[in-house]
Amino acid sequence: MKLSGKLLVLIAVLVCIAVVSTGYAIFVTQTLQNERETGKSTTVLDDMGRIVHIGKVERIISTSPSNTEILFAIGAGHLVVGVDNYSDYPSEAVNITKVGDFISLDVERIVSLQPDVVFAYYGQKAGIERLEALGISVVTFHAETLNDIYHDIQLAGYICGKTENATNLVAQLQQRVEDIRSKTQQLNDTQHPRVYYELWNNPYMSAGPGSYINDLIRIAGGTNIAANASKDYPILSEEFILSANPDIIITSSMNIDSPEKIMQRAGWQEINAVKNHSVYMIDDNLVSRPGPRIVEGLETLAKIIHPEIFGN
Amino acid sequence: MEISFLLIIFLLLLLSAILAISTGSASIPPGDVVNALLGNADTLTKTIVIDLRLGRVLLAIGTGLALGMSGCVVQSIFQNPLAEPYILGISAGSVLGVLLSLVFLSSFEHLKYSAQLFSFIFALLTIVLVYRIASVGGTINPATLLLGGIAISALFSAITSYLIYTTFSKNIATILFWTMGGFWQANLVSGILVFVVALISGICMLLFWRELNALSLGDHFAMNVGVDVSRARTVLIALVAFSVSFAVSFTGIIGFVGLVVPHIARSIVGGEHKKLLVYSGLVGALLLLWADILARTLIYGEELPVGIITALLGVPFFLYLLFRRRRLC
Repeated sequence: MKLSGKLLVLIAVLVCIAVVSTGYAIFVTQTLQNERETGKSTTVLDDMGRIVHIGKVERIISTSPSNTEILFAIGAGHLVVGVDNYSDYPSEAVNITKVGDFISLDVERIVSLQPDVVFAYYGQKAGIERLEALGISVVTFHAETLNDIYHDIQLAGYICGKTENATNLVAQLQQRVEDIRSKTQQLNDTQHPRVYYELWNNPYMSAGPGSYINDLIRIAGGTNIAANASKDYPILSEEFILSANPDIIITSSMNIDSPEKIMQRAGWQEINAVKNHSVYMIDDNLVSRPGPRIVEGLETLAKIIHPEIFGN
Repeated sequence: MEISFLLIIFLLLLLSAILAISTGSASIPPGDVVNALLGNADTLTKTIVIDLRLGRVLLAIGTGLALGMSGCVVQSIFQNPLAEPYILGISAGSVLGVLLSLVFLSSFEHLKYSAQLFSFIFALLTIVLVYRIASVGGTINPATLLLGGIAISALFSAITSYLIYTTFSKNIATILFWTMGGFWQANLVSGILVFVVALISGICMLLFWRELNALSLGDHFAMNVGVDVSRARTVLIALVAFSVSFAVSFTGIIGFVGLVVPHIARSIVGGEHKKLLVYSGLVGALLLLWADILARTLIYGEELPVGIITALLGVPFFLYLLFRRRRLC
């Protein structure tokens, strides 16, 4: 193969065709974009710092179970026309059209549902980009603390015109949290049981700083043995767990090992929690979804960690 | 006989493309699909048919073309039937690039297509790095290239694993998509871009058919018949790197296609590269197009990862060709 003149001409022609066809594709895409309605007068700042323009809000799609729960909790559930595959609460959400999950979003279905706004979640960058390119307003939510969750509920309320419902809900949630916090704050350090939360059994995955569970355990008056780990969901060594000698073990409903199986683990019989049969399971959705039910998760944890105060 | 076979495959490709454009989660009757393509439909239907579906079809065909032809080239250059396009670290570099873009650019959310850009740049960087390592000491030989590729892939995989461990919860979605591959992010612009890049790279690879014929018989043989081995190898690897890195930065790592498609093509047309390259490209395009159609339609309302489907489709056909050849011996 020699780099003759004919060859260079051929390559030049090919590159021209490439440029022209790409330009045409961009032109077609732009035309389609211009044909779509504008008239989006409201401006909102979402949790990723993006400025989003929204028009009327009559059809909402949620691509995260926590967003779905928030929408129903503030009374906007009837506006939801599409949810992600994992949205299962409340029960009405189960029957709503599914639009995919965080691995692959069904962009076609979302487009054909003609949503006015999509409530996405942090980490769905690819999906957010694709939807925005099609002219769909996408508001991104991201909560790492209880205060963030209150903020998200207010944001959803503002967008859907349910501000009053949202404010009332937040006030209720804050009250319930305060009910628990005021009692556990009075405990001194020795009265905080050591808690090991097990998300997964192989390897032993727990919840550390930056996770909701860590915060909830603290508010509920316990000490998370993984509180000083390096990340939000660390993998703990068996040695560490055994030497930490937790007083209470709480396992997620997602865990393959049930509390009974945990208590049967070789070498674990000397752990306080196993000796006292203080091994419990909790619905994972109550402590991992950044929505209103996180307070329910907190109340459940409080009852487990301090039954003498909160009953069980 | 050959022309008619080529025509048959082209026709199959065309029909499959038409089927793919008519399939999707939004039910659009065929008549409306045609009208939309011609521009006579409402904006919603046009968006779905032209931007989403046509874009997807072009992306699938382009990726199949790139992976199929690149697989053929790589197998011939290294005289290794188990070689595949990711062999010099493209996949490791691409995944690492994407993760780095998520880790370091999280504050610049406005940078669209940053994942694709980083994926592409890092995949190319990996090949350059491997090449530099292999050229230490003078001439480059295939074995050193392969070993360099293995070493760098291992290193990048380790870094990637560390990044995955530390940022797991935030980036799990992107990581899972990238390692399984899929076409759901396609739009018209990305589809045409990948298709055009794959086509041009493929045509450039075709221009080297004589060199590939010689190289597949060994470096010494090739040198004896006058092929500038290192130059041909460098250019061909550059073409492979460019086309595959580009496609993969939009689709994630789709495995298996680059490995098996050249063998399927070889069973049909033999080892002469003028035909082998063309058929590798066409079979690759056909396989991925069908993998996409099935991925979207096998389970109602869900989209399966493409990599699973390519294996399920390709392996039976590959085994059939294998047995047929053995029975003839």
